[in-house]
Amino acid sequence: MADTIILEVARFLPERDTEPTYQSFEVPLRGDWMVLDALTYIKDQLDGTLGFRWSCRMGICGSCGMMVNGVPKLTCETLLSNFAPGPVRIGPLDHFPVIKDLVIEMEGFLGNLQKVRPWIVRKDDFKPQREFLQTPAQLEGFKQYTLCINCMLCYAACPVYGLDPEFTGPAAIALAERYNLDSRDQGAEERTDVLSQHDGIWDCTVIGECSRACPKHVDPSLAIQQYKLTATKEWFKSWLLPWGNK
Amino acid sequence: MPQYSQFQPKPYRPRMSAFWYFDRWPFLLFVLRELSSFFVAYFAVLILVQIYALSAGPTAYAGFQACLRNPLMIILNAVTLLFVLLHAVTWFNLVPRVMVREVTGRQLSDFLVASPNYFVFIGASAIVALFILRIL
Amino acid sequence: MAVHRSNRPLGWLVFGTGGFLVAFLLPAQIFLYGIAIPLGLVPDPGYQSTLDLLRQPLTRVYLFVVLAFAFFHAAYRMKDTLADMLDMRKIDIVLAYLCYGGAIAGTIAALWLLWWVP
Repeated sequence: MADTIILEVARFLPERDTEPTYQSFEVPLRGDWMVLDALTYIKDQLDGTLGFRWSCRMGICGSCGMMVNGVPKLTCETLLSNFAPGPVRIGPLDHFPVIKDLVIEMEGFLGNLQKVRPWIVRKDDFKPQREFLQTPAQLEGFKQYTLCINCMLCYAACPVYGLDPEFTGPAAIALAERYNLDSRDQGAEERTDVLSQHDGIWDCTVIGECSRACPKHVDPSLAIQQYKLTATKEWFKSWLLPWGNK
Repeated sequence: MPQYSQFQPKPYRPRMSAFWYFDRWPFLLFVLRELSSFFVAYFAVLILVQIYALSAGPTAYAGFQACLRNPLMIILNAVTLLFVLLHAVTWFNLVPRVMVREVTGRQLSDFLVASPNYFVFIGASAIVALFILRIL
Repeated sequence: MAVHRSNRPLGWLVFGTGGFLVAFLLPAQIFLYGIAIPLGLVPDPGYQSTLDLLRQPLTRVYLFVVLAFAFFHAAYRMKDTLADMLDMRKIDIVLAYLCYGGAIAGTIAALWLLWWVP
């Protein structure tokens, strides 16, 4: 194994550049290094002006998502030596506006997330005096979707989001499903109004890359298709029983 | 975008290449799967032509069959078969996974959910074949 | 609620049903009529025998159902594919009219032809 590897890192300075360029750095190739360690090495030793986001270094904060050789990855859990002999191309997450180097603007995602109301919605005045009991089966129904860490890898993997930024997108729909399936929640109807719109679930063409990209195995693709089934049932109910729905 | 951004430098907004589906193998596979719809439509039209030829008489049907023996038509139909099989395999693996929760109330293993489709496929193909070959 | 009246669920349900019918039933038909019989891999049942099969009411109902669902299944996918491949999401309403118009025409043609089988 060679003892160094070339990293081609996207550089973009908004005051100066109109589009990103790639700059090569030679870094030590160590067996225990993740791609994030190599970026930290560049910032500490080679070029302190490199901008990138990171926090926990252990795959739970969801800050360090980047395109590694064209594939969205959490750089803190992607082994550098997997790409030997290199070079490795590191870019900002696809489909998002780039603020600087590897840092993306995430307002679009946060806006979509907020639209689906990813919190427990109650119609009544919900002030429980003790624990809210849930059966293991009820928990199993939504537990998978609670693992989402909002890292946006699924958005970077989704060509539909790239073509149409209005698309609600994988993580937001999976999180909507997380609360829809929670027995404490009563907001499914409000979420349907957002998700059943044209830019909601119906934009998805089932490419399935979001589920492959997800570092937490949330499977947003399945959530979206299952939600299409739910929306279709609701649609038929609203035709057959117009008095049932208001 | 937040309000304060009016005094900030403009971010770079990437545009997707028009040929994005050549970027990665999964995207290409996806587009090939979606292109199967054109072949489904083509073959449905071919069945319409066949029904028309059958109704029009033996001479018309002989002409239709001679046209199908053209090597180019055989290649086209072989490609059609490959595309429809790609549709079938991707469909069998994906769609029952979506439906299983509605039917059983919980998510079963992917293998358990997908495999019955292949048995139904073999059975259905055998029955269709027996009818087409006039054994049944 | 107005949003529930979006017609996407209907198109999607037909697309899904058609997807199963196409996947289960069309490959055998393509292989036999499109490849095996023209190449002589299997004996050709001949004109009269095939026409007798088509005369059966059940065959005609079967063909109508398969063809109609196949056309609408294809229309749903063709619309999305054209929009994604050619970056025509802006005019996808035009694509929808084109694809579904074709599917309606194909279904009417199927009904017409199957009705008038001698």
